[in-house]
Amino acid sequence: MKRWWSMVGKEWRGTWTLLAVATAATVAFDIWLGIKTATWSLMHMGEGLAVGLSFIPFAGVGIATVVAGYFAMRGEWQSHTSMRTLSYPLSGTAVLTSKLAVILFNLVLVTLVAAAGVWFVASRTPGFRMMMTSDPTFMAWVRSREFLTSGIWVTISGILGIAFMVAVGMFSFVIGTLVPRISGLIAVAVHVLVWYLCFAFGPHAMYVASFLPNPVIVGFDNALDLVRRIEVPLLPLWPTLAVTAVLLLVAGRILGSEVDA
Amino acid sequence: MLAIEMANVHKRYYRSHALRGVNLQMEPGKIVGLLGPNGAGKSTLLKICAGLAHPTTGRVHVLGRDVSTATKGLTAFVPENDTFYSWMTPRQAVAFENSMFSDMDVSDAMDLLRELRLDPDNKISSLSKGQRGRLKLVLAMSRRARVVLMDEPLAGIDPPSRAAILETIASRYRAGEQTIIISTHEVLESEKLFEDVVFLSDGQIVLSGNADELRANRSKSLNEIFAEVC
Amino acid sequence: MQINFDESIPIYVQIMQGVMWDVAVGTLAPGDKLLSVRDLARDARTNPNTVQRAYMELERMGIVETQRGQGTFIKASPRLAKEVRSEVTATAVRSFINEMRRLRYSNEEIVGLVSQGLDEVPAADGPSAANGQTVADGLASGQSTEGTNGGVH
Repeated sequence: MKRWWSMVGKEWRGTWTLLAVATAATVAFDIWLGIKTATWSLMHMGEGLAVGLSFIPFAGVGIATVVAGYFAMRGEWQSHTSMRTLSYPLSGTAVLTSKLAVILFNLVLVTLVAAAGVWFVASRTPGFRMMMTSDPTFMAWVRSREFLTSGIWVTISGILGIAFMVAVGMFSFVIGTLVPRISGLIAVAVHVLVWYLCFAFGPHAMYVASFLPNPVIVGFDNALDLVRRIEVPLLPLWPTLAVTAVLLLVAGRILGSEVDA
Repeated sequence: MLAIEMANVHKRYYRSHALRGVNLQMEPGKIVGLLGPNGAGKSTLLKICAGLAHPTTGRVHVLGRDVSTATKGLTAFVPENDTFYSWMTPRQAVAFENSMFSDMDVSDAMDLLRELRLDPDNKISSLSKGQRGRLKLVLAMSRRARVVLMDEPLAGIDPPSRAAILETIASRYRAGEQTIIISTHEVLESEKLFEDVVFLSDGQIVLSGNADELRANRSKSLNEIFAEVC
Repeated sequence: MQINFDESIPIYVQIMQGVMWDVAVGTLAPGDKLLSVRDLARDARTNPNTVQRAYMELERMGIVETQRGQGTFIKASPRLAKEVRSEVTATAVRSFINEMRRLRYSNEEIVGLVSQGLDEVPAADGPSAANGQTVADGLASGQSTEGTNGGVH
């Protein structure tokens, strides 16, 4: 475990500058929106503009999630440090999870900053707050007992979703290394294939998962002026967890026995 | 218990056949020269022992065990390429190795850094090739590793650094308890260091034995024998 | 002790010869301490096991003795220098004669060549010039490495 934490520390040292830049850019963008939003709200239909724009950093997080796993691995190969990293008495899966942990931390941190930014911009937008507080559905949801637990489950699902996508990137890269010369092409193909398989067999997996205990997210709907409570079971939770674990274990196994660097 | 034991080891890559049936028994406590031209399979052989490659067929034992994550902790692998995390300083690199290997001796490493005139607080990215070559050696030789695997430690390095590297291996070698395997195609400079030698050519062992016995039997230097058999 | 190695001769033999030459010419006196195995290995960039083997052979020949924990010393025997000197000399003469015979010289011719050579080669350097040189030194052996000047203390 000491070795794993040490590896995490090394990963952290290698990525924190990028994290600092991303965080600073998000904060600066949201501050700019926070300043502008009062003016924009005076324009026709302008109330939601700044709030809408404040969601842009989430798109950045989304793109980063798809490519982070791949690039975290490729960085090691390009600098030849893969040789050193994999010569340590640490399993391949441990190497992957140490990278995953740091990527997750970074992406979650940026997401939290972006979410705080949305709240900040919204709170500085005149009228927007009133619009929210006067919405009966929203208020019913916020006041509900399940708001906190649902929030926690949404967060967990979000983190798991990120972990899954990062794992797909790592897995594709590792499979790519088995075929030198065209490793990049193979990685992209594997990436696409994994996604395809997930969509093709996702429904089946969710059907199987429906027999397992699943956490529920509670929401509210106000069709016909009647606030209605709706429950959405988190069916993708167990399948995603399982696939992520399998991807990491298989990729780790390959790394542990064969490095082409 | 043998330091390294290989039985009929083959290694095929996508298009090449790097090792073609290698049988090898290396006794512990020796400095062994793994000699052969470029592309003979030296790096592949060392990587297999270090657990960085898996033989296509055949069996490999390091210190009597199958190669695994556990044997990685007993061996020190010194790759030919630069593999440092370049944002580290030598001091940080020593600390990091210490966190990974329980047999690292940090104060010994700091002594060796000083002996080899390496500034512990200078970023690795600013070091010359020769300095990096010396740093690689510091990290490997300040461990009490039972097996040290060095891949071309002199390749592409300036003459003073080469001399320093050879002297360090000779003086820091833990005689009796440590096995050092050094692959090289530059035999002339390093041959006095080897107690045993293994000549590898085209993925096969063409000659092996005690260095001084080979010299006595053939009245030739290892370098001359190398030119003959490889 | 300075050894110019010829890599085509067993390294341990050359280390032995180096010590014996030094004893023969008096650079190493009885009771003198040899370099430690580790130091000599470093200076000569050679294998400590090889140095160890040379010291063991020398001990077997009765030229040095190892005192536990203190190092290896030239044996404190009054006759040692003389004995080693005659042995080194005999080896040098034998090797020279063998070489000349391989060149198909008769005994008379060898004697003649030696006396002729003695007139031609200036002796100004004194006998110690050849200190530590191995017999085959200077033959086609590729590059020989300079051993660093080894202390005797």
